[in-house]
Amino acid sequence: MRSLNKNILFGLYNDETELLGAISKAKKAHLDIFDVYTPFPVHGLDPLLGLEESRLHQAGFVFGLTGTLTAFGFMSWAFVKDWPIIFGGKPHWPAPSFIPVTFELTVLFAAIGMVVSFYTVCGMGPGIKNPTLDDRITDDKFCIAFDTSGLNSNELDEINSFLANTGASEIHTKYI
Amino acid sequence: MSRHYQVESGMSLTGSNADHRILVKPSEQGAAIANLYNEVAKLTGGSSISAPKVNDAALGMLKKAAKDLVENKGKSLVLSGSNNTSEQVIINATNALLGNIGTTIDFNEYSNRRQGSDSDYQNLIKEMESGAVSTIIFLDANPVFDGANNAKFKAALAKVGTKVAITIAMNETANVCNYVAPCHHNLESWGDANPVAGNYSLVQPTIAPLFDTRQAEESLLVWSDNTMNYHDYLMENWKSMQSGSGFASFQSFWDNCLHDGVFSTGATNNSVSFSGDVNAAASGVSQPANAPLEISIYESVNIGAGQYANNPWLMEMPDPVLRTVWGNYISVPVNWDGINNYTAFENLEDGDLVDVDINGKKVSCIAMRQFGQFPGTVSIALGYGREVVGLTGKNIGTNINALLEADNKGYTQYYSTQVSLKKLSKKDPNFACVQYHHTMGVTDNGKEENKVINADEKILGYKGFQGSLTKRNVIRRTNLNELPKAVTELKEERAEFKRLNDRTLYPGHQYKYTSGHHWNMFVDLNSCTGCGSCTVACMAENNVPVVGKFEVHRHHEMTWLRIDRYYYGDINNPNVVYQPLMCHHCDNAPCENVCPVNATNHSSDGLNQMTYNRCIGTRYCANNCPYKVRRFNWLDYTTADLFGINENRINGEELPFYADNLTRMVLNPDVTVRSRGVIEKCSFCVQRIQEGKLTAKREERQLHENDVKTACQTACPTGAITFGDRNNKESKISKLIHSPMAYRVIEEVNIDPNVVYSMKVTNRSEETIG
Amino acid sequence: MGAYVSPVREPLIIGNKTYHQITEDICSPTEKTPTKQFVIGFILAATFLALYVFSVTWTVWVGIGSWNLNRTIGWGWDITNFVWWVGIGHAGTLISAILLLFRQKWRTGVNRAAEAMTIFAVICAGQFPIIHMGRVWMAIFIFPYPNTRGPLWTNFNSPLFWDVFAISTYFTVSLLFWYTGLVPDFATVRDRASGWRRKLYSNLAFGWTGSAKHWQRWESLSLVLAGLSTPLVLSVHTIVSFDFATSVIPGWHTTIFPPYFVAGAIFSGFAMVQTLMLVCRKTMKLEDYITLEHIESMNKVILLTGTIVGVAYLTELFIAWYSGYLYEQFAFYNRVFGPYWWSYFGMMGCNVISPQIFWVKKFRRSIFITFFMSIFINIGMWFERFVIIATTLARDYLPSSWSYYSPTWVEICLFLGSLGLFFTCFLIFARFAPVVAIAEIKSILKTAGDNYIGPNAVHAPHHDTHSVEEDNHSHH
Repeated sequence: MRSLNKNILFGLYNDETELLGAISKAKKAHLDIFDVYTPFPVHGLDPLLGLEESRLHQAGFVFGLTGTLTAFGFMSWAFVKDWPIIFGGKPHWPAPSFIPVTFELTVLFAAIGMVVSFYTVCGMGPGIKNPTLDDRITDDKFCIAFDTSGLNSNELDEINSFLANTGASEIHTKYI
Repeated sequence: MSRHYQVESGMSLTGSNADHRILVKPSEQGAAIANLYNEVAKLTGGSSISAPKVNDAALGMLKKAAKDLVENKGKSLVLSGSNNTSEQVIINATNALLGNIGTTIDFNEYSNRRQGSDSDYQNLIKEMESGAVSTIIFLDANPVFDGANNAKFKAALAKVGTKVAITIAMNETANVCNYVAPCHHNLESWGDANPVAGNYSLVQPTIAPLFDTRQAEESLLVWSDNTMNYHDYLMENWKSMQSGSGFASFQSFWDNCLHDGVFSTGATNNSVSFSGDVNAAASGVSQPANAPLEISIYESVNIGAGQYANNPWLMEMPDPVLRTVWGNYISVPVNWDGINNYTAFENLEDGDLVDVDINGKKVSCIAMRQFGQFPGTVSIALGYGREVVGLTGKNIGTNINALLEADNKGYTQYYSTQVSLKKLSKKDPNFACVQYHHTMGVTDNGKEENKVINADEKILGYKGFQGSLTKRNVIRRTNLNELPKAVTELKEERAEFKRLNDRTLYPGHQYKYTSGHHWNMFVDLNSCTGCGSCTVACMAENNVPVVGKFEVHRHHEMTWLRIDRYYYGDINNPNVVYQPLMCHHCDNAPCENVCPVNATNHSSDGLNQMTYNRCIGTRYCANNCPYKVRRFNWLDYTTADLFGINENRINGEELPFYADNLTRMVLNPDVTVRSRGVIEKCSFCVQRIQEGKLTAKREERQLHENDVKTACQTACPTGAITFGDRNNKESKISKLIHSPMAYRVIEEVNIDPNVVYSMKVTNRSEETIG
Repeated sequence: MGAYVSPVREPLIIGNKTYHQITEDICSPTEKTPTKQFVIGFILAATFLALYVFSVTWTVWVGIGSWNLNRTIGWGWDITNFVWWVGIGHAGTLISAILLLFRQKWRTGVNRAAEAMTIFAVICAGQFPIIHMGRVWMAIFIFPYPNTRGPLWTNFNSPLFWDVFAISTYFTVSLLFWYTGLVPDFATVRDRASGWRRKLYSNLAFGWTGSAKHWQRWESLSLVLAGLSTPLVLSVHTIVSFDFATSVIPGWHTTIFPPYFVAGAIFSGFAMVQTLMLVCRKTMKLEDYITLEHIESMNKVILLTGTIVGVAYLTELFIAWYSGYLYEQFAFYNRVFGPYWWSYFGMMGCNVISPQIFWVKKFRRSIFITFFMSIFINIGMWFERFVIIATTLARDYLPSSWSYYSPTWVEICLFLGSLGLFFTCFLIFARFAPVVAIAEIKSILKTAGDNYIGPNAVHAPHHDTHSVEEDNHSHH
């Protein structure tokens, strides 16, 4: 397990509406949220946190385009330049025949590319263990986490009271 | 154009090629001969003889035949296979009346074959029985199996003290002899022959003897205490022919004869006229019997009287008419119920087992429904059911030879009127027939006011369910009087096909194949008699595996070239058309498109190429072939794969057929032997094409049309198959493919085949049509 | 997406669930010891799998001659099974991908299991093109890899070659899509597990934490994969239909095949999902998540696609007549009246006539009828492929080569064995992975759970969320 070497102060909520309310308050209070963890994707969370739109779509497009060019280009080269053969009276460049494989490779490259990018960018993969704050987060608890490294005791109190006031059912610290 | 009338009861190969078939019972053969003589005599001023009654339909046709014959005096031929001397005398008299002696019947270059006499043979039986024979030597003969009254022969033979068989393989006769002298195979032998008067030929060995054998003639020399060896003896024999040959020395004469293979001394000069007693002969003619069932017995096209029973190629060659393999089958008549069903005699279906009683002896046979079989008759082939024979022929089929009897003059009779047939409730579990659908537009007079209906099966009252078959562009046929119309129709249809075929997905694209060769094949459906020689030649040339009866039963036959046989015309007496089908090497081949691994593609000289080593056996190409000419190696037929345990047996032999070293000598070294799991098909004998090209290259000249001949083309006795380069303006093929009667099978599918067929034209007399 | 829910919608989660209850219900089949039903089912499936392995070995050892295919009919049960399995797989992708794009919440009850079904169906499908090869040990020739024989490439014109890419792409993308969805659920199971199970699920969960940024990317990825999978699933069965449509054989050579096959695939796939779901929900006690709503919705899809398939059959008959092309006409007479008429009527009965009972609401919501219908439909769809393949090949252009085909024991065992392969894989999946998409179910609880909407609602949908969502429309 990789260690982030951080001291995390986090609060657990029982409901996503509470969570969303707490976050908007945190934003208004200019508190620096380390991360938010939920058991399922909560709608409305991303814009609240100010998360930029993922660029996976653009990556996917580029991967797909690579697939298209690879497939179509390779088949055209093999049939026209490398070893032209007569098949059933068709011309050496039977463009309609190339369409299915081109389409499939486009999709394949896009999918594999995006999935690999996804896991890479998220720091996930087979055998990788990322530190988690609480086992119940993947069950039914919602978590707002703050990184307490370099914070003085006033700021810590601010966070603690913020968490208590917004309805956190539990507040803990953990070193990850 | 010639016109062929055939008088018979069952559908023979010759009869299937006839314009008109006159159906008679076997016992009516004599009556037919006598009545024909009388009809011809009426028209030529001869006197009539007493003739037994022949059935009315036959009599009507015999009258027409006589009229045609007389209108073509000196240009006709009347032949009979009858083994009754009186009937043959009447035939000779008929030919004499028709002025054929000296014109179509040539006594100057007469044949020396078939000089044996059945009656001499029956006399031998009597002599042996009386103990008058002490030594007998058999050479190239197997009378214990194939002679008439062979049981009597075998019993009489036991009384002979010394029995010697000179033979290349054990057979039924050698099996009962005290001495067997194994002799050379023909290909290992020296010899000479005089098949036709004035024509001599020499036989030379092509291979050193494989086994410890001695040529028959050599044996005879040794036994007659002659110290000369046979080769020298042969040369001595030819010394007398040197004079008048134009050669100064015997050695040059001999060398020249060996090189040519034939030597002709010129025809004899015989003036012959008919002097037989027709009236006396009339009393010896066979009389029609009033039997409920008669059987005609014939030598099969592939096995003969049994001498070829050990030849797997011939066993696997489908009978041209029956389309069955590995056995003889009793042909039973078929009739149409007028609605939607063909029923056969005794409700028999193909493959049903029957017990047949012939001349008091009982045998078990397998039935086959036969179009054109005269009702009240059945037919079956000789040559099968052998017991002392190699691994191939053992116990295949039914032994009919044992039932042959001779008439009172000693001549073997190939029919019987003492026949009964009983259907058993069993079927042959491995019934092997390569074709299941037989008709291409047979008509019958319908129940509604003599209306002609298409007698192909009908379903639920809808007529002509398979009648659409008649419009299929597979077989094109016509009669001579309608030929101009058929040619015009063909031209119009082809123009329409071309109009449709020009609309492709790639307009403006067309490979032209004009710069090198463009191999084409022309098959003349008129010349093709359906004999099947081409199919066997193809198997021999291309190492096509023999798979055995069980595998053919499963439709796993491997033959690259097949001859489809279709019946058309009047369902009770149909005409037949044969269509040899091989890979058409289509320029727009559907098979090439669909092979995923690039195992089949088109060469620049128009051949569809097959790369056995690349094929992974998905069989999509075979599915996509509209002609269904591709063959798949379903099992390890050739013992070419690594798995020893799964090799196919063709007749229960212990060592697989293709694993035997002697058998493997038959393989053509120029052609790959394919392994299990690979598709194969006709290659237009590409090995011969390559050889031809190399020969021309070595001789630094253009390829001539005689440089390349495919195996099927070479074997065809009538020249029905022509193969060549259509780009060579001098070749025959380049002209033939533009004949107005030339068409391509299912041309409308736009596959652009390189095999062209020529319409079949019959010459039926117009009064009989419609 | 707003949280507004139409008042006519029935709840998709019943039983007054909380998030924790959802976790408990869905994770418990993977945590408790297997029931006796499961063990019996697994042994049965594994036996058929063993039969499959034996039959494949026999086929490769003896040759394709151990089947009853012949010189006229080169494909029979083998390719019928191939198309049948591929068709079944399409429902999973449709449920995951297309229903996601159409924002149908009910997909969440069945999508995980349906996608798993897709993957296992594609595994089963992929067996047949491989084992039907005459020289399967040379199968690598089908890939265009560089070699020293030229290099000799493959034939890009061949639909079988397209199939290689289509099926492998379909398998890969489905696997990636399914697994991506499973990762958060594996994390859920991981966090409840201990000992060797903790280690196992830890590895399977790829280090999922539930971070908001990760969820955002996850949803983005799911959306694009859905968007890719939709044309993919349409293209895959289209390419499979090209195996027939691009040939010249009458009865195969027809442009109706791509939409006809795709509709048929969805039809049979949904039927198989019904079969699986009806058994799963009962044995794993998931009736609260796979409700009658889900079953009814799937039956509506079955009715629709079955009708499309029926219309396609009638269109084929009409076009055969209208075209005037005698070979095409004969191909259809032959289907209806020829030696295989029984399979044609089986196909018509099971596919066209029987699904029409789903017009009646009572039958759509009947578990008993749905279960038997789902089996009939799959039988009918098997007959459809058999009719297309074997009947058409048996009688084509040249009557002299007409033939008949019926399978040997090897072919039958291969088919039954492939069912064993499928069910073994599915049972292993049901044992080790959550069969319902935990995170997705939780995300629709507030808008589709019966304590929030529907006649038994205790809580109304939360209106506070409106003020938050009003600010932004940029997310889904």
